[in-house]
Amino acid sequence: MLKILSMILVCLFASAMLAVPASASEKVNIEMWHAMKAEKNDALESLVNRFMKENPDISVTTKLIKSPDPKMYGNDYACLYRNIIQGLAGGTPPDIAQVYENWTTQFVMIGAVTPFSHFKGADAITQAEINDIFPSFRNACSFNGDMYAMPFNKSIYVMYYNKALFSKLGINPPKTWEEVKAVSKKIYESEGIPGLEFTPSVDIFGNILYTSGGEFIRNGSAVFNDAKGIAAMNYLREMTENNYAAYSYSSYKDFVGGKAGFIIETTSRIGALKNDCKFNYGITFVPGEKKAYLYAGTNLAIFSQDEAKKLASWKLIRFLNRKENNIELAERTGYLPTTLSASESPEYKKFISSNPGYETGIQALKYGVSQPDTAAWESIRGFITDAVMNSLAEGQDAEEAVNAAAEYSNDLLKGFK
Amino acid sequence: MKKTALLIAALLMIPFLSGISEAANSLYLNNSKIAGRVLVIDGSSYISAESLAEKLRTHVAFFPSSGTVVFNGRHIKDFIKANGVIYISAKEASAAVGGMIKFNSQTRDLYISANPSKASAVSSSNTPIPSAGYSIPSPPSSMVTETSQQPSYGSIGSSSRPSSRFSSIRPSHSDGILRDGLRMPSNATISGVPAPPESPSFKRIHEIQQRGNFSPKSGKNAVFSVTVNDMEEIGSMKNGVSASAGKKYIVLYISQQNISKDPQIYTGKFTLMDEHSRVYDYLEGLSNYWLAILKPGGSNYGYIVFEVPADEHPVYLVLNAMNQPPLSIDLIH
Repeated sequence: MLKILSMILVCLFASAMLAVPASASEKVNIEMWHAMKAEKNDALESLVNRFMKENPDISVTTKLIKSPDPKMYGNDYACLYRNIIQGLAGGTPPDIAQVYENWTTQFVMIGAVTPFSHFKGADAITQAEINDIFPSFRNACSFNGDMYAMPFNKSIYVMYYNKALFSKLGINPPKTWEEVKAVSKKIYESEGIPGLEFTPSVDIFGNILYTSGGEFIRNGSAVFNDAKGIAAMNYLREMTENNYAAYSYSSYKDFVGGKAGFIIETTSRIGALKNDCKFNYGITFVPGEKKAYLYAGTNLAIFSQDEAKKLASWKLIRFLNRKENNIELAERTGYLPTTLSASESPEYKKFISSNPGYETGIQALKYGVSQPDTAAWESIRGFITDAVMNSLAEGQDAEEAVNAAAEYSNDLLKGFK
Repeated sequence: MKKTALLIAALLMIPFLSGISEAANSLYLNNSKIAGRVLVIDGSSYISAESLAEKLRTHVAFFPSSGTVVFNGRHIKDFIKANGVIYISAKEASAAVGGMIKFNSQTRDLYISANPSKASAVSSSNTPIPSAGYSIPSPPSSMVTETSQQPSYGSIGSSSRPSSRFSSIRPSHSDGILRDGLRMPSNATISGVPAPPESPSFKRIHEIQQRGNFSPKSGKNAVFSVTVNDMEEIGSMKNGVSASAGKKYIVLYISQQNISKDPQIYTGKFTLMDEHSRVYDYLEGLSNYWLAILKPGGSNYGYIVFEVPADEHPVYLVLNAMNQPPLSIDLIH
């Protein structure tokens, strides 16, 4: 009798134990990996907290990936990428993470990320939502007709110029690369400082290349060594050899210190510039014959293989993409809105009216160009940066330099096919 | 019979050694029986390094100039040399491959489970490699477990045994080894003992010279084929970043191909080993070798930059990838 009673008690206890944590176990925990620091991290945390309040059944843990030593480990985003692929290989990827387009290509290839068409019914993405995303961003996140990532922290290249200096010299912001040369010559001859100062990398070369009608890669082959690419490299050589332009790793600092007439950087500098720059400055489009402006920044993709976590991650993505949140992220971080509705909203228009420069970024987005989405792109960026250095610092012939980089790049592109 | 012979040998050596035991019966690597002798001395197990390296397709090297042994990119402190054969501590061998060893005291069999990628995480200090995704076979639960991290050695040796005890043994011809597995005290001198022939696979290093033209070196395992196309030593990079005082940069131009039938998500981590068995991570911020998911047949290409002391010479490039034994590329020969 005692045995039976004990058994009943055990069963009752077991039932109670099973019943108690039921609600807790329904909470879905997801992990988001990103590399947004400082005020960008604050803005993200704030939005994520609001998301959790709105979705009490979802708990989001954000993990900021920071490089402890850029020389040793690469930059924050290199560390983020490495963590993601190690996580994938080890079976412990994040549920959601920032990804570049060329990373996404690889993740799509192995089925590591979830297409947005996966979500059905009330959770399905609407055509209105899709249409609201800036087309260039949307296209860069789409593979085989499906979106695999949502544009997130985006910026675009613009030109920052010293308005006070331009007024003093009676010159206007240059609209073509020939005008850049003329304006830079005038600045150098009258002030002894370079007109254009730039970081010697793939980005300055790319800005000249694209606004001259060139491309990095076409139909799976490197084409940046065509006539436009050679001309772009020769242009940089000529500018630096004549001291009309200078290259350094402190171009932003030199610009705000009044040591350069203008720089070409992404719109993510706008926020800092307001505090750092003591003179009147202006922001305008990257010069060039063609309106084709390279943009930068990442998108959000879902890695989780668990259905509940997938859905929770998708809800977070949609939340962040919602107009008011898109605007908040843009205003607090300096990134650009990723949707048309956010960029055209009265709230954002009010913001840009008191924050000059963002309007240029929004306008440039209409002509935004994604960087190549091939898996080989990160390495190709390095080859082109080497070509810039070889040509500018070591005197290698421009054509030889870009040809060598293109040859390496094509080897790599073949290897990744 | 073997056991008896060893016991007799052990008894004969009592004036010189204490705690000599008999050899283990069999050696298992990831639950597969492999050839190779295991000696048990003072309660510690020693494995034929060459046999183990061959099975793991990794590298073992003996450095006469510094009197050290490097196994799988790790400096082995506790080893003995007999008749030209290097026996390394099972515990350290296990640590070098990121696995664990278990000794069945009833059958006297020694089990090693190898986890090479984990070993690479120990020897290098970059971002942590996730622990999931490995499959380490589990020997019978009745066995005593010895791990590289936890000093609970059970019947195999003693955690209090300082590895430095053997640091003064010079692994040269006069190292006092009389016969397999029997070791003289480090300060003993022996005369009239013929010098054992040195195994060709351990003849490394002394003759490193400043190289002129570099000829490509290749190596492969079941998953990757790696080629070092060129190597150069420089003091500074093109972007003006210079090596620290007393150091130089070694730049290796490499290509890596996935020769398996499966996509490889994480293609591993390269480290460089110098002649003194020091292991270096590459400087990712100065390199241009972006990790990429490789499809079957796919290949990656670029250069990796190491910072090493100015008077050091690179000896091996080692690729540590998940679920694969490390792949060593000999940069000398």
